[in-house]
Amino acid sequence: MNAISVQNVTKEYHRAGTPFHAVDAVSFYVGKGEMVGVVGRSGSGKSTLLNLVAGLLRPTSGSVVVDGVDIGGLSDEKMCLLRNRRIGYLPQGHSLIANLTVFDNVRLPHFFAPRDRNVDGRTEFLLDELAIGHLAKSYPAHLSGGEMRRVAIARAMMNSPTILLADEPTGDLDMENILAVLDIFASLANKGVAILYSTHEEEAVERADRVLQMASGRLTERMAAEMSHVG
Amino acid sequence: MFGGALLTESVRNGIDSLSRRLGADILVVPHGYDKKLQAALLRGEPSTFYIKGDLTEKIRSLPGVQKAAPQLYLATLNASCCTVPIQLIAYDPESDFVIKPWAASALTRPPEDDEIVVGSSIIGDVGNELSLFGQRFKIAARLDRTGMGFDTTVFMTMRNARKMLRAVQEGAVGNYQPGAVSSIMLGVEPGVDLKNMANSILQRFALDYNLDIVVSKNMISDIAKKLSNMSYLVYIVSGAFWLASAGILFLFFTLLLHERQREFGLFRILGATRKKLAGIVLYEALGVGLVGGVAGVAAAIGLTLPFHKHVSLTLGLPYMSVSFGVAAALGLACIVLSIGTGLAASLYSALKIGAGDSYLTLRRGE
Repeated sequence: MNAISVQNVTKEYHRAGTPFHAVDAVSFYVGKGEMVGVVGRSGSGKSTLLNLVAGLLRPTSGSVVVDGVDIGGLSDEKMCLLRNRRIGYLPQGHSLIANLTVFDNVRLPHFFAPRDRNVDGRTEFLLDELAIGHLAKSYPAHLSGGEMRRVAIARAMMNSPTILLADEPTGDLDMENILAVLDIFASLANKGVAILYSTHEEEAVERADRVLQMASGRLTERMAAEMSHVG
Repeated sequence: MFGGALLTESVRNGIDSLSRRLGADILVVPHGYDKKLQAALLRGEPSTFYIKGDLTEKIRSLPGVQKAAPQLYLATLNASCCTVPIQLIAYDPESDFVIKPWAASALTRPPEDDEIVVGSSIIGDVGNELSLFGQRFKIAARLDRTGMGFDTTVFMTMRNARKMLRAVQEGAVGNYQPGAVSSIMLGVEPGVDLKNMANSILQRFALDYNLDIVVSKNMISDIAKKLSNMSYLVYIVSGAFWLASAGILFLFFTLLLHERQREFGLFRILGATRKKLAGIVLYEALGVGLVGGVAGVAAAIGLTLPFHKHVSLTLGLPYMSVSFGVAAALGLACIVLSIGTGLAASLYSALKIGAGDSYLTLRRGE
């Protein structure tokens, strides 16, 4: 079973009364432990595609199956619970809450769907694993770009998700931090986490197991070959 | 709002206290002194005025008059108790039906010749001596607070007062003539028309005694009308402030929503339901309303309590602070209103964020 399976998904918007397809009849899959990159120009539909997979947007047509669950028919409550428990998401840019410490930022997902587990222990474990344990009491304003990205990754991994979605995870980072983030992704993928990320960085493209290229909301022809693998 | 409500209720309380204590149906005073009498009764503004003392018996003998009790008003030049002149009211314990009933809780027997009863605001403990017109008097009792001029008044028997006046220098208390009184309190028999009685007294005695008549019901209703006007103004101003506050809060929450779109978008990504986001907005609105309400009530207490005497004097209305229970209930109602206003003002933002497209919310916040 694939971690992510997207079948013929379209997302339609209206601009000045004219229909516009941000994502147009897209199909692909991401297997468990696989790192899949999505490349394409700005406005090509990469972020929309990630948000469709995350259930933050509902497709106009087509189906999205995440970890065996067809999310199309889920209520807002069930979708939020699934996103909280099974999907880690790294939004584009800085996404930390400025008035929360690193520690509190990382354990934030627990606040939205509390469950019986050692939250503080899990937070400490993630911070140590990402080598930012010493920053636990710091506030985002005192962190570098690379440190903030690691905190965001730790937060995304808080609930041990099976899927990690990342929107430009290496954008605005220096080379050292780009490589560090990709190493972390590779390590997570080795543990079975399916990773789907949009990127412009050459290094991130090179490290992907597969690359999906988007243009004007559609996958290019070379991606069409993947259709036969959709499971 | 709390300040306005507290002020209005305290004045209403003062008027209730006045109407309970006044007792008499009609008050007879020298011509032109009706306002002075009101000022003395309501606010304790010291006055000295006289009419001939034989009038009491003449009025008492009128058909329809049930009770007639003379009172003598003297403004002290200075007293050992006070830095400002105070009002002294002398009454006749035998005929009095106005002061005795509510003063009975403080003193169950008539004051002795060298004794006085003091209002709640007069300095000095029971048993201490007080100097009035150069003579010393023992404080026999202290009255409970009334919210009226009685709080700053010293009471003594008519016999005591006349004895004191005989001892003071001529002219020290105006043109006092032996036996004179300042006002006569009348109680009429049931069914007697007060207006007719007032006219009858004026017709018979106005020329010889140069009188004015105050019908206490009219005086109370005049004061109540003044309160009604004041309440109207207070509620209009409070309402305007409330509307302005609600508008400001609405803008505040709308702007806050705009400012925090990225934050709310992030919460959504992390698994917050729309209900949860709306709940966060409403919870914060509740906090703002609670803190604002408590701060407003505290500020109103801080402003109202120290200046209530000034307000009473300015408005010309009796003022008696409401009980702690009433004040607490008013404060609580205002805090609840403040919370309700905060919640209502944030409702649009809460509904908007609950219905919005989270992805677009996040992108707009970037």
